[in-house]
Amino acid sequence: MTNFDFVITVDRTLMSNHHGREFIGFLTTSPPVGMPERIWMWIAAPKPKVDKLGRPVEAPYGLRKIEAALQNAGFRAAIIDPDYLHLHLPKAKALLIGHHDFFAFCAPSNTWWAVTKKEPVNRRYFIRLMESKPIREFKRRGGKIIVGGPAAWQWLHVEDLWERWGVDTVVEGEGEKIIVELAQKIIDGEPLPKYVYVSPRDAPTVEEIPCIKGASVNGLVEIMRGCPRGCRFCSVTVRPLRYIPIEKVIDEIRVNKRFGVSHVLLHSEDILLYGADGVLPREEPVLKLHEAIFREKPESFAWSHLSVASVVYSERNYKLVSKLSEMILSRTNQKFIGVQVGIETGSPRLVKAIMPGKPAPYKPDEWPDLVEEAFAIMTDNKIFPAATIILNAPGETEDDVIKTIELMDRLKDYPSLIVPLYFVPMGVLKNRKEMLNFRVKPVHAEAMWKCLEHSLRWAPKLADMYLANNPIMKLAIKAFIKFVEYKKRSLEKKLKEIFKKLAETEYVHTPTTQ
Amino acid sequence: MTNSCIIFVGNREGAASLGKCVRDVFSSPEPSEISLFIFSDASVADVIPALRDFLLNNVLHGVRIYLVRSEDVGKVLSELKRAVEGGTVRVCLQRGSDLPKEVEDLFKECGAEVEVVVL
Repeated sequence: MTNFDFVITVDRTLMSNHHGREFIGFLTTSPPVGMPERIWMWIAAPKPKVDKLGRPVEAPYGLRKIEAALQNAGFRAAIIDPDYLHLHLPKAKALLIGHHDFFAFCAPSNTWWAVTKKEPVNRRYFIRLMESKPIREFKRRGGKIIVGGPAAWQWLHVEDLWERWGVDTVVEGEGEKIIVELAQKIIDGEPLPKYVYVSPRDAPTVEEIPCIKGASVNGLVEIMRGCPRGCRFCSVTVRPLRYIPIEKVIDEIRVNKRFGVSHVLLHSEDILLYGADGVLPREEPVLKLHEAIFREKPESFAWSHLSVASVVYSERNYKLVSKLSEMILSRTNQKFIGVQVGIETGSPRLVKAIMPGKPAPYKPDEWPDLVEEAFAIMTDNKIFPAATIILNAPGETEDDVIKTIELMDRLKDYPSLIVPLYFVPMGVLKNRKEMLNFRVKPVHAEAMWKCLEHSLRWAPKLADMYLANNPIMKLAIKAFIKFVEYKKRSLEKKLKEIFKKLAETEYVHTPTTQ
Repeated sequence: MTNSCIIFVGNREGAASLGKCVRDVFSSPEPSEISLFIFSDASVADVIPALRDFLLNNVLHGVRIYLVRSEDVGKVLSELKRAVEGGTVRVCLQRGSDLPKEVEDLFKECGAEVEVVVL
């Protein structure tokens, strides 16, 4: 059997293609609802196809980048499914784990945890992975463990687990360069730093970002890093802005295709800002990118994120959203385009405080109107967003939340899901540790209820389209929606009592001590 | 822009005052990288609470933290040399602790100007 010095992995909640439907992966941020954990996980994160060595055909994109960086530097490294670690760890020198929510401190995990008072499955599975026999034995014989990824900051809140599991190094920031240096230290038997923060200055340049060597989950391919909008709650804005050249994007799409993944999921914080002039989208680079992609004949296509202001600006100025939608829907068999969009708040006051760049080039006072206009543009173009709102942002008042609820009223006829997220201290606000322990206020409960009503109205229709080619999953998801509807009806009668109780007790969510 | 190298020598109780060693360095926009060498019997669970706010607050500097027992000082000398040669050096000694001999020799070899703080 081939030996790998560097084994890269993550727990099952991320090592899955989620039945080819990225959005279903979000179920792993919740505890099981109305069914046993095993069935929940079968729906949310089924085991992926692996080769005889336990290497998954599709793996999370971030892990693929680390694998590529190490292989390019000449190291024997591979991504291994968590069920196959026992085959490789006995001979490996290091175990590398990347995650975007190790301990369920991020949204939406924190929100579902607070609402249900039960640990989300992503946290349960990560803890089980770290406590598993192959990893305990690996550590006992002196193997090195390095953890990283977007959720690396969470380790600064769980130093007891850091110590208990013998994690040697926590890497925060973009890892493609530093991981090569750390790997060499391991080979040379040199001590490792306990903690590394890769500063924006030391982030890899576009040329230094390696091309993936195996397929990414659901064909995810990044087209840019960083974001110019500067939202204070977001960690992406502290990274330098880099646009990935079209040739590199196409190379990765071809890698995916070679491994049988012909879906393309473009990743960026704001797809329409590809090649932009600051926060002003430009038509030419976005169209060129999409034309190049469609020459590769993907079977299906999706975007990760769009922003409200970019949708409005690019449609008003170039009819760009209409042109892209026409291109995508005419050159695939799909009937709609899925995407994630951040509404975050309906309060212009809060927009000014925490995300003044998000409406740019428009003004924060226009925000609620921009959101509605963007939703109208998306509906006209068969783009159905999974939108988010943020609760408990620093400095939030009851009036801010009421404005968000009012905005949701204006959005009720636009097909979409709206998901409430409790604020997570990331980006330049990440020192606000107290924000991890939040209070569920009555007005938050009202906003969450509004989200539930909105999403339940549209979820059956969206599930029909989203899962049209997967009748079993469609059945499972629709059964779940029915269950939630049933629970909602039973809660409706007690709603006043629940709000009253919340007002009296105000549940405090303290994940770091649970 | 320079590197900033901070060395702490002390026991696990002393590690609670690590924040005093790094406060003004973290608040300065100057260093491109801060290297912190903690020569101590302290554990991660002792060290991180003292540094947590600085690390969580940081978006400017590259940071590397080495936590090394005094008998293993020799193993990080090459990394320490890299950090010392790059810029400013501060040594924080817990009262009653001494700078390891190898580190003193390294300073002499590099001609490093060292600021010493006794905690």
